Amino acid sequence: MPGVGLISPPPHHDIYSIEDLAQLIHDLKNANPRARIHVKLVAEVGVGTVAAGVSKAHSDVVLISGHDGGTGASPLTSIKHGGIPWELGLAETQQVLVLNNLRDRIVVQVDGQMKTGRDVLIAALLGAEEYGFSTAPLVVMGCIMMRVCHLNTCPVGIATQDPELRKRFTGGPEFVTNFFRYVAEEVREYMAQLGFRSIDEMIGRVDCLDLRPAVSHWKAKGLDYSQILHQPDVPPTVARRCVRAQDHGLQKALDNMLIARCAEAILHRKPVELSLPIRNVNRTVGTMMGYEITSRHGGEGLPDDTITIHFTGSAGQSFGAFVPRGVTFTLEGDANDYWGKGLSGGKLSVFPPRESTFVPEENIIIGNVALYGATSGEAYVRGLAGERFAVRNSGAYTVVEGVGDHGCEYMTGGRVVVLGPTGRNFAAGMSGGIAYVLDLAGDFRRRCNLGMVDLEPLDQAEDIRLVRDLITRHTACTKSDYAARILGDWIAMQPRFVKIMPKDYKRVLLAEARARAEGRPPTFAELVGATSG
Amino acid sequence: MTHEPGGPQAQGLYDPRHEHDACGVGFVVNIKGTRSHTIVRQALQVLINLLHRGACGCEVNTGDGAGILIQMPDKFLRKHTAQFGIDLPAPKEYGAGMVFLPRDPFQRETIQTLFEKVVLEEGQRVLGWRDVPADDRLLGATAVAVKPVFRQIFIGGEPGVGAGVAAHARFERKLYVIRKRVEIAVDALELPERKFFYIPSLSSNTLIYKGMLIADQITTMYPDLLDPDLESALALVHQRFSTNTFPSWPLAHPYRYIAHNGEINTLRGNINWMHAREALCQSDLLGDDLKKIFPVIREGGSDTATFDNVLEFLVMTGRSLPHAILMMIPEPWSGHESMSAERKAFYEYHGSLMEPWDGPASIAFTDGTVIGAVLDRNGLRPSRYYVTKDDLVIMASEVGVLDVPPENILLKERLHPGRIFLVDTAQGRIIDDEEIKHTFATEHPYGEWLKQNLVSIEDLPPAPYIPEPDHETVVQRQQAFGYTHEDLRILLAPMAQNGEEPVGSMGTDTALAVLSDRPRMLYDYFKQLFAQVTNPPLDAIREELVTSMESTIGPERNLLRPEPGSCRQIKIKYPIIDNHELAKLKHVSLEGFRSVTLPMLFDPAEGGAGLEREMEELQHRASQAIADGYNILILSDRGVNVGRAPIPSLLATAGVHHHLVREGSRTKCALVIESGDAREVHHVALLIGYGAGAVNPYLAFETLDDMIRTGLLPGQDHTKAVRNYIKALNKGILKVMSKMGISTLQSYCGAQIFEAVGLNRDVIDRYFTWTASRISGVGIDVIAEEARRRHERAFPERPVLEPDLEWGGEYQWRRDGEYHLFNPDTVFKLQHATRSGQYRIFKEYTKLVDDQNRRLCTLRGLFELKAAGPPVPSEEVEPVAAILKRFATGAMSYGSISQEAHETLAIAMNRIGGRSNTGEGGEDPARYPRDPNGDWRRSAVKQVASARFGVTSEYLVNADDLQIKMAQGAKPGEGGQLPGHKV
Repeated sequence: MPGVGLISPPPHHDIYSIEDLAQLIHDLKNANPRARIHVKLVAEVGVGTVAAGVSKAHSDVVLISGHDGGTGASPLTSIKHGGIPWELGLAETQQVLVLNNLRDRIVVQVDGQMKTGRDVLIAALLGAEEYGFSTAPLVVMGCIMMRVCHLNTCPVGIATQDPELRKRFTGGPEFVTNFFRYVAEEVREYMAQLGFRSIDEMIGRVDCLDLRPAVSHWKAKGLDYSQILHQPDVPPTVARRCVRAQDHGLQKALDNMLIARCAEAILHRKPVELSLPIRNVNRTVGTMMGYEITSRHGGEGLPDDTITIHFTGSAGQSFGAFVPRGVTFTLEGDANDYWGKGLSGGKLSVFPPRESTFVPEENIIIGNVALYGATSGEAYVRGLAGERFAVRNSGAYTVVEGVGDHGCEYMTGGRVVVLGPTGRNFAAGMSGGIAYVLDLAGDFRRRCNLGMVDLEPLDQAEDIRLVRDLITRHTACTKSDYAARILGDWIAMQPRFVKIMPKDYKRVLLAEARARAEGRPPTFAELVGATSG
Repeated sequence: MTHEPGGPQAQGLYDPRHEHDACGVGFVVNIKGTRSHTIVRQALQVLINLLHRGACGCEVNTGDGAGILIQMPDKFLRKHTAQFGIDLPAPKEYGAGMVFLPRDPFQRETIQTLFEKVVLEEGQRVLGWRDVPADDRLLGATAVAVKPVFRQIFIGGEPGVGAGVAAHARFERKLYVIRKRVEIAVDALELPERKFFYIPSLSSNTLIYKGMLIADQITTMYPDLLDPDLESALALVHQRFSTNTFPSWPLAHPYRYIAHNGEINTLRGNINWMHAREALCQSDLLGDDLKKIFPVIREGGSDTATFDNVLEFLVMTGRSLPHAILMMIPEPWSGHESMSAERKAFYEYHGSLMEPWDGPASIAFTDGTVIGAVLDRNGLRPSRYYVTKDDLVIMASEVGVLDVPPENILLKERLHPGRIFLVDTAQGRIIDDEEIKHTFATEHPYGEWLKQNLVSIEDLPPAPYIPEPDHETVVQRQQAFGYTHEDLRILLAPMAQNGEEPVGSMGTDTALAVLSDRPRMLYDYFKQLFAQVTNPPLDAIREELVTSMESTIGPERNLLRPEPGSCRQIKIKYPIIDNHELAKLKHVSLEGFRSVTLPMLFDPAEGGAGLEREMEELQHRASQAIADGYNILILSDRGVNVGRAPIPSLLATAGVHHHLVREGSRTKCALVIESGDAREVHHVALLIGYGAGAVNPYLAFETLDDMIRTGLLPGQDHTKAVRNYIKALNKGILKVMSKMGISTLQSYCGAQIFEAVGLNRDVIDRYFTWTASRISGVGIDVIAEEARRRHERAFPERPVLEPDLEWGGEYQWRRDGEYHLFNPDTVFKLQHATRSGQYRIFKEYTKLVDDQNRRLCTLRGLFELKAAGPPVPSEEVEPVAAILKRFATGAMSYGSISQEAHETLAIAMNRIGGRSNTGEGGEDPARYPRDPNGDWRRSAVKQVASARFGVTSEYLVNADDLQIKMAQGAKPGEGGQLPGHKV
């Protein structure tokens, strides 16, 4: 939405550790089994060991980026002093992968100020089979290195959104293809000279590299490249480049069965309803089926509730990830982390087993980082969620009966209703969407991060209607008697709700409403606000 | 492949120190302490259901590690030791140890004999050894190749030592001393198979079975675990995922007290501080045995092994297990809105004893009687638990790892950030966070102790004298310290104006410090490390509540005997101090504090030898000052003159810090740096990272004054400019810390989270011990020469009429500045070549760039190419079309470049069969179908970044590559902010 800023969190909130990365790789492979999964790392000491972990986590490609890249705005300290040249990172990666016999299943790509055929050649000899270019093609398209990308004043219409400046853009695709052809041609010239017929032959041939002694230079004369040029002592059977595919284990996924049993719905939009048990080892359930639906029906998905599946048990991580419209999952039991990650229009609900005797709204039912990056859809949680509920939600509507710390962090859209306690730092970095919290203890303000949001009462008719409607749906989906009691005692409950309203978002909504009332589209200036940017 | 038992040695660019691991962890416990074999079976089931959190190496049947810790299974052991003629004493009066031994019988015998000798020397009895049945049929070749021999040793207490809790504890401490002595002794043996040796556990309370296994291999490997007589009331299990395949048998969890899912980010600093602390330790409980166990930390262990070493040390010297855990992983307390004063005092007091071990962590711990778990301050690992109606607690990284009928579940909870959870099987109950912490917090009047001893720097009496700025010599001194015009205009000005670090773009294409013709600051030889994959960076802005920039400086005392005076230290809110604060420290006269200023200057004419000698002198003076009772050491480079040049502050700081660590006196003093060369964030971060407790960048302050005078800082006065500048530095340091996932300054201090590029081994080993530096480079002589050249400019032989600073040219190209690979010449040639379609001109461009590369701009420029064989005819070389498929363009989001530029790249790459990249801003679905003319504006590579902007099912489906952006070259470890006008 124009006018609503957007924060990129420093970490992926579903990758705090290597096994989490393996999980995200698995999620994305399910979301598109045809695509290669690719992990971008930046060179630093130890990047080789991380790359080994990435290979073990079943990534198809690993990209080693040099410290010197980057077109966008960054603090100068980071530009100058973070990361190391790709030569070092790439060499380490190749050595550690070969040493571990993990090189055979992963493609290594490298980038960072690549400019000439010689650069490509050295990258190949150090162990890369693919090569990335950024600055050079920008220069080809007209960039003259003014280094003002962060100011929106790019004089050649490349790094700017200003419509006037954009008119000055003179780059054409044929210039760019010329560039790449020339680079390839130059690579061929070097190959002929050095006696190579194919790139594959060259990969990892550090024996074809040597350090040119810089005896004359007062500083560089002390350099020693022997560690870069080291070749691990491994038998010839150990591959030095990618020769086979990763085993992603997709054939073991529960989704194969779902896809088979929902074929009528996926192919012909005929409604299907199923009941199935589920366990924590069933991860990323629904995602591959989502791929089958989206690849056939596009972003629209299927009509609502075309596929309805009732699961019973403890669901594994990433339950319902990226599930598109037309899919409805209910879960009687509980779920782990990343429940509803990237929800893309589907409907999810979770509630405790009927036989349970504990009080649902006092017990945890789903794990951390639920609905991370959800873009649309609905989700209902009968019970408490862990940390970072709905982080980076940009469009899903959801009801939950209590959340841990950092709820609704970085949210930019959608609606979140919390019917119970929240942890600390609620709404940190929240620039859009609206949250409604039932603050029975009356101390919500203390736990809310007020940096970007205002707290308001729930008193606008539109809001009240929405909240009541969502709670009603929640009650219907999860049979929550707690929620039913809230509805039953609405007169007393309504004043105890707090509306969490991002300041920017409010300005944009007001501008839009005003423009609508005047029968015109909102102006750019109205949306971004006089003081913004 | 040949594997060594401990994994390969460092070779090439590989260093085992960089291995990381993470995983799944869980435990099952009967709250009432009722032992049964069922508990063991259930825990093994949990382990199998966590299997997907572990990993396999290059073979599917070689796991990274799995293991189980149980209570001493007395019934089982009694049954199985009888056949070896071993007569076990009563439970708790004998110890059993799982021992990994060499495969060579002679070497095995050597170690066993040594082990027995140590037991005797410690006054205990060896009851015998048992061969542990082990069946490696299911294991992969790699695991089998390094598999040790498994034996259990049984040790009886000295006769007449008696029963009872105190006697048992004494015996347990003896077992600890025995294990540590055996470890140290074996490490010193010259046995080829020494690395097979390891003692997973030696205790009278617990027993561990673990190894290089996958969860479902553990019971075939160790059939003991299936024996119905193997009973325990608690069982802790762990499945490991290591970034490498070198996970060895010893590196599997659990360790003696813990199993860990996470990563200690500040490990190197924690290890250094711990070593430094040993000299001050004295223990009533261990008495003379204490020195036998030093060093506390066994070198070469993983982060978890190291954490376990220190935790065990704290427990063995008298602290309870949960108390020790709270010391090492304190919750964020300083800014907590609702924490009790007692609890805050508890943490603050313990902060003077030991810095936090910082990083994402879910740690499950047990001593065989209590079992519990704790979560890091940020809640970055999952930990869920069920309590059942029949007194079972099941805790694990995931729920659903054990089938429990829904009606039997009493409650379902999770570990909360910074909170602890404990089951005490002796008391037969769960003790919650509140109760545990209240108990420890009220054990001593910590608040009172702090009030009497801890002094805030604001409360120190004002100094009688504050150094005056000297405007006459500002330029001269700026020259001596290597200031450039760019430093003033591009770095300092925005910091003083806005209190923010300046922003730039388009990366960097200038020479590395070691390849530059110009004298460069020593700081430039260091690169900041950052978190990627194995641990998360933090958001210090949005999640400020978990961070703390506060620290205490001053002497430490005996870690093992906490007393009121242990917190006789000075508290500083931020590490950058102004001239008033520094003067207070210089003139401090309060009881318990004595400060001394040591000059860091040398004679530039004497070159490297002179610098080396001055460094030795400085180290010596630091030792002497501590011996004389000074406990605040201020290193100062004031006093530069025609005969004296500054020693780079970083060299002096790190050199003195490491010298004092080695000497064992480091924790007796604070290091404060009065520095003329420190001016940007990177500089002060380095000083702190190498041991400085506080930094006073006095010349930067004077420079600001000068800039105000010359109109470079319109609208600023001294106070405001200095305040803004300090604020920007502090914010910047916090950001550098957060990039590595470190939340408290206290643990960042001395953590040396940097890599050196272009310094030789000698400099590293002597002054920057343990820092990675992999292409060698300059030595102390060049460092001295760089200082001399700066000094020469400041004090030229023939005076210059109007002395001026150099321009710099680091950030923007200047004809007289640093080289940039893209400069007006190369930009013109490249554009001309590709626009006019002339390969000849392209070759002129590449010649210019390659020549510049060779003129020492890049590492690759120094490579020479060697032919693999005779030249081949051009037509036999792979065609251009095939090579083009290997090309990609980098991630540039639609928000950062214009639509025209973005689509042009996509069309071009699709035409040649290469791959363009969406960047992190999503992609308009209108670009998915091909255009009528056959062009395709769809990017083949779809990026998935942390903001997940526009990452829908449809976006993912329309990709050839899905790229997970872990980090970005220009700002690894950082997030970003796209302002509203660019969305």
